[in-house]
Amino acid sequence: MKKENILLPVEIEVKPEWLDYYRHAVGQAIQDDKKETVFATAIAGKAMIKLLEPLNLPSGVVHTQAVIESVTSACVGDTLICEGAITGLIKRIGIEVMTVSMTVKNLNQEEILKAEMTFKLPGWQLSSN
Amino acid sequence: MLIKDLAEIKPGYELPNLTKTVSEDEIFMYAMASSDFNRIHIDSEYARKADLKGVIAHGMLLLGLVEILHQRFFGDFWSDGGSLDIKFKRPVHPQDKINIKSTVLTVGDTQNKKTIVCAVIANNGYDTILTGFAKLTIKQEASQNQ
Repeated sequence: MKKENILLPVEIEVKPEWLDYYRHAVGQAIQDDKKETVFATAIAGKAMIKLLEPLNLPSGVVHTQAVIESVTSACVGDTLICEGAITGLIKRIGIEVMTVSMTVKNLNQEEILKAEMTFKLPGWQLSSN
Repeated sequence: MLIKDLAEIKPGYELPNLTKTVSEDEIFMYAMASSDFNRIHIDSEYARKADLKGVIAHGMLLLGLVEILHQRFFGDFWSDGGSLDIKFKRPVHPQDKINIKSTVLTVGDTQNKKTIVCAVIANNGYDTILTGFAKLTIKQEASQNQ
């Protein structure tokens, strides 16, 4: 893995504030009321955005594929560490496609989830000349 | 609907569908939740200039719906062994009525674990919007204690 492809680790807190927005958007954020375990997709979505923030990607990025594997649960109040890298970057006929792999762990270094996501980046358009 | 007996699950078994109409407000709520303020999700004019009919839902919002379908069915097993592999085929616009369907493809039993793979497909009433797989791996101890 090239050093320049590795993204800076980021931290996210599983807070009720953003989970409440998530619940309003999707319908449910907590899997189990007793344990307050949170859906992996809720965490993965937030984590990936924070991980990619330093890249200052332009608006217009389109998500084309997502692979998410839950390993163990995260709960409301947890602090999670997200690490990732750009594992694929293809440019062809004006289209740029980027794949990012990510791991999310809790502060005990237990893996919460692994994810790989692919995005189509807005690129130059073929000239009509 | 939470499955009571995993032994009932065989290839061809259809999980209960999940249907939802996504509103523009809900798309904005997802942007607030995820901090993903990509303009194709929140700015109709920008989205139209990007050759879309208007704002579109985040892919991860749709994935959240897919996960809910499976977690409601498989319960606690899902959080410690569920995985999704989904391709987003077409954008989802506000007021699109999304119907998500998951059908068991294979059930594998070994000494140590049970693996259930489902084919997932969702449409907006006209076109397919996403396809993929949901996979659940259950350690046999856990499934026997159910």
